[in-house]
Amino acid sequence: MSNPEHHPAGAAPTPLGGSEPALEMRGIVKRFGDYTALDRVDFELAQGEVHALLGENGAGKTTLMNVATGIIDADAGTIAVGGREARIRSPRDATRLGIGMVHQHFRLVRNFTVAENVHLGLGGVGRLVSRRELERRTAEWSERFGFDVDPSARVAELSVGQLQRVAIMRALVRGANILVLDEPTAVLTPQAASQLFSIIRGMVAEGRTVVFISHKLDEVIEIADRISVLRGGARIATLPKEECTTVSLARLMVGHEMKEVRPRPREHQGDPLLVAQGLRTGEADRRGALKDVDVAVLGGEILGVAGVSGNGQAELAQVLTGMLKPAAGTVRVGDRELGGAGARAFGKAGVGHVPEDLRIGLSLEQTIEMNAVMKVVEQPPVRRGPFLVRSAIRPYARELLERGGLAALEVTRRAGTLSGGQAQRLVIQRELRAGNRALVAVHPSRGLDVAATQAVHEALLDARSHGAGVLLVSEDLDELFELSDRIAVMYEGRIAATLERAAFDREQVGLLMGGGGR
Amino acid sequence: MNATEAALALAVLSAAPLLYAALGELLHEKLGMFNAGIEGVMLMGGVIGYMVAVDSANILLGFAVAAIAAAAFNLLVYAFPVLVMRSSQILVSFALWFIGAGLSAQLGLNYVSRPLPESIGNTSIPLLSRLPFLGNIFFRQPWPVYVAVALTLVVAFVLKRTSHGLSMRAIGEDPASAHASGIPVRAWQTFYTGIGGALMGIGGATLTLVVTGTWTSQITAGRGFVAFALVIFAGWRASGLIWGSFLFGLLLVLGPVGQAHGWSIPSSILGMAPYIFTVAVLTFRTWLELRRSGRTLAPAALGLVFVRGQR
Amino acid sequence: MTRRVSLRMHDPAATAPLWMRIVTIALGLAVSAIVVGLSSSSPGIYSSMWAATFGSSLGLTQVGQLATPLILAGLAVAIGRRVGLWNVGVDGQLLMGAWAATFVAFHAGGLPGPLLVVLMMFAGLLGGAVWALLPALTRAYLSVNEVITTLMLNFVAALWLSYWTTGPWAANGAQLGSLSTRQVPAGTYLHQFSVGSVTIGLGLVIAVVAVVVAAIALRWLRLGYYATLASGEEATARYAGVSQRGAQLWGFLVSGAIGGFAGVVVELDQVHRYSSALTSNTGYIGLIIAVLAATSLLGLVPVGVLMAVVVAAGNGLRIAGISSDLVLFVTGVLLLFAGAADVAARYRLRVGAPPGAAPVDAVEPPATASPVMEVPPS
Repeated sequence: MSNPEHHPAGAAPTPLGGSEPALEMRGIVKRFGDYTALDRVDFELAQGEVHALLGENGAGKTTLMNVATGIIDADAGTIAVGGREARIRSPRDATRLGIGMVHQHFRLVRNFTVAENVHLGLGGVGRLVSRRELERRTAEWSERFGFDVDPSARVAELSVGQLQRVAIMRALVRGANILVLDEPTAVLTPQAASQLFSIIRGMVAEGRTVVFISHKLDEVIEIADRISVLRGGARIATLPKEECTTVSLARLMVGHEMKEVRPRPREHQGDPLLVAQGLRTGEADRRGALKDVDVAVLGGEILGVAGVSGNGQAELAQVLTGMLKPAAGTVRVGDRELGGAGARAFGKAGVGHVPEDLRIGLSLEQTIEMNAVMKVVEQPPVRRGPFLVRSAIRPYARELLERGGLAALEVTRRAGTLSGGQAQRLVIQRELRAGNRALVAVHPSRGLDVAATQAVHEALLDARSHGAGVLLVSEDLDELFELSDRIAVMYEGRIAATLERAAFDREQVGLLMGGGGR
Repeated sequence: MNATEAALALAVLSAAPLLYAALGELLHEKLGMFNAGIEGVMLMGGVIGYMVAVDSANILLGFAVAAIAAAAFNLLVYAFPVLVMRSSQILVSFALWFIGAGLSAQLGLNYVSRPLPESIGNTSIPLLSRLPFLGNIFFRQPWPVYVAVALTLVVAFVLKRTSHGLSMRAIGEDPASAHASGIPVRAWQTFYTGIGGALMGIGGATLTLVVTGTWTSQITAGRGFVAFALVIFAGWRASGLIWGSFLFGLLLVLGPVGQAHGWSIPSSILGMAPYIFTVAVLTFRTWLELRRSGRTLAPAALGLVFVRGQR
Repeated sequence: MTRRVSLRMHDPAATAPLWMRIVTIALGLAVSAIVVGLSSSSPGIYSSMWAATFGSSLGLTQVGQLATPLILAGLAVAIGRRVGLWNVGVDGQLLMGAWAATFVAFHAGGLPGPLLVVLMMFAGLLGGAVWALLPALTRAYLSVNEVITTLMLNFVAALWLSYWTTGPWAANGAQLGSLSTRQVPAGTYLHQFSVGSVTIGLGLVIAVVAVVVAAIALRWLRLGYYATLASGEEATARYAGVSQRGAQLWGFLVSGAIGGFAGVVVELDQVHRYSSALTSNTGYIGLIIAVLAATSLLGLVPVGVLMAVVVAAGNGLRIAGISSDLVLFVTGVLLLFAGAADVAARYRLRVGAPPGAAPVDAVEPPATASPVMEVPPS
């Protein structure tokens, strides 16, 4: 097999062998413990096509491609590249066979420069490199592929779109004929996504083959030549795009038809429960820092917050829950001023918080029951003077678990043993009880399967109908459109616009997320 | 050679064990591994080097066996539990230190009062050794001092100017990305634990065979931890280790020099200097870095264990 | 379909269960015993070890004496662990606590015994806390590695002792093999109980009481709950409204104070001087005591006694050509095994079921990722 150095990087690769499939995977099985991630999956990739892998979270799309690129080993199955049987045991093997992958989180070393990242793992031991030489070569490649990136920039300082281009360039430099893109549009605005699509078309025009992993129906139909649908670790179908509609794909993907977004009247028009004015955070030049944000969550409503990640949504949620002290501005809960107070004060005032990262919502060192009472240790019956009333803890925890449909759990187990879905349900139930006034939920259904997502949505609607004000931060527009009464779109630390439910419009929101519109 | 020159030359000599040990630690940390048990590996290298040198009357052989034994010791007691069994790196570090300290004390029990058959003389570097002042301090030293500096420069060069060095640094910064780039993470980590252990062992042997010429239990007296701090002090840059170790060497000889010159400050108080200085330097350095960039210069994945095959 | 055996992360915060700890200790001691056997050519070393521990009333008395500072040192380390820190500086805190107490004794020697004892104990707590102050502050505010700072201060404390015992407080007839001052007033000696022919010092009782008090406080006060919250991720602590910085600061100061207290107790109970004989790797052995006792504070007492037996057995072997530092080897081996046992407790061995058999809930990866980027191994 040829070394990537031997064929000049960037030159259009010659097709390997006429009508042979570029990549052929047969009977791939992958298990994690007793969970089967891939169940005898066959997958065939034709030369020069854009092939979409469609499926829900956990359907096995990424796992399948991780097998093809040697990130993980399959438990069974065979792989052929260009018609020849191949053993892919490591990413190095995959690179040698001309298979490159751009991961969802790009797998770039944050503290390295663009040039260093592009060269990482390229070339043999002991080869001398100087910073200037690396940057010169990177600049050359960057120009040849038409990517506009600064080779000397530190990766940690790049925008998401730039990161993606660096990752694609890295794969191309290694001579990738087959390029796997894992959820490439998940973090892009619709407008940036269309730029990506033209890059993909350019690569295909040069004779490369692209695998496009996604769970978004529209874009799959837009970009792909063929579409394979995975569900529950099995391949359900492979279809040319001409035979697909969003509805038929949705049915294949979910196993039943998706619910349409339905109009919904406002049930109560409550008082403002969580109100912030003039919020600013951190250094003003940072992208995610808040710049003069005013927001008011009313009782009995769900206020959705949309935006491409890193535009201030995380900061807003943190300020509204006492996790982050604003540099300027006020936060009121009901009629109490809480700006500058810690999370404990917000909790006492009745603000619940489902955090973005589940891990921070649970103390893994402690038992489930001790986690269940996290927000009520300062209140009777759990508190009596300086003491912890241990006999009051268990009944409280049991009741909470029952509400969350987790009654079967042993409360004395450590929280670290919970699965993602169980942990999510525990945190949400706890926060719903603690947050009788307001609930701030950040990506509450991320990574959950359909049933668990449904349960989360019902819990949020339940809080709303009990008169609490819910602030829902999500990157999933479908989720926001389904649940929200209003949607605030954030861009570069500001609220670009707030739309009423009657005015929800996908294109408009997309434009606002990208800094356009209005 | 006047008294000042002699004292400074002694400081350079005392710096050598620290430099070896810190270089060994740097190789661990650049690849994301946190080894606070340097002391134990130094002691093992020190005692084994001393035993072999005494029994064979061959100091070079002592160094060679010390290096091999220390590498094997570090691989068995550090690399295996950390890389294969995924034990806590801090816990394993303590174990490495204690096992090394206890075992070396036992092994060397009968060598405590046995002198070395020969001593390593100073090697003068042509021309440079004739420099006024500096020549006597830096260029009339035993060869292990020069080797320490040379190895450090080699490591600095490899890390900074070769594509292999790029891979090494990537492992410490982000092992998952490094793996995805086709770098065999675990293999290099194992390899450099061995090399790093050998360097720590040579550091210990330099201490017993060259600096003190004796063996006593726990002779390193915290030098392993000073070396650990030295890596932080040098900002994880190999070249920074050289002058950093000289600075610490200077403090190490304050006590003995003070005593020899009959200074009025008691030697036990002077002896505190390297330890207090280590704490001060560590604190100051961290404060400075946090103020400047909000983070330290440590490899980002230091102390995290990479397990292949995540989804 | 073949069934494959694989490991799965089950509980990232787990520590090994009791039976696993007992097996660990047994294995560690067995390995150590073999090394000891190989290291000594003298016959009958095992009977010497027996005689130095359970085999004689002198041996039993020694075990009790050795256990006193060890239990307190274990408690000091364990309190540090409760807020997520490693206090490797117990030896230094112990010496500084004893220094402060001795200072009081030498300057207020005329006071009645019991009052002086109380004053000395307070001085010891303060001395230890002061010695932990710098590592506590630098750790809490600058994230400076507390292992290095506390360890460096051990050497400083040892040199401080050497300065005082050879300088201002030099005794006329120095004791053999150790640096010591003259004795503190005899009125401060702690009562020694006789149980048959075995003598048990009041110091041991004090050590056990200290452990019990700490265990009750951490379990029944909200304090303990918040301390544990603060021991994990900083963000989790902030989420729960707990200042990790404050918890680390206070936890470490308390840990240091207990270290200092260990110094006073052993001085009042056994040594009666400010002396290098106050500690013989006590703080380091305290590490393994805390690790083996894991989350159970009450477990410190039996583990402390066990390590006292190990030390006493080692002391019985000095004439048989065994280094007194070999106890560090035993400590290291036990640490290694204990670490492995904790890891074992975190994983579950899974025999893979045939494809398609997994319940939907199992789709989700565990909620957690410890610092270890844990993932099912391939």
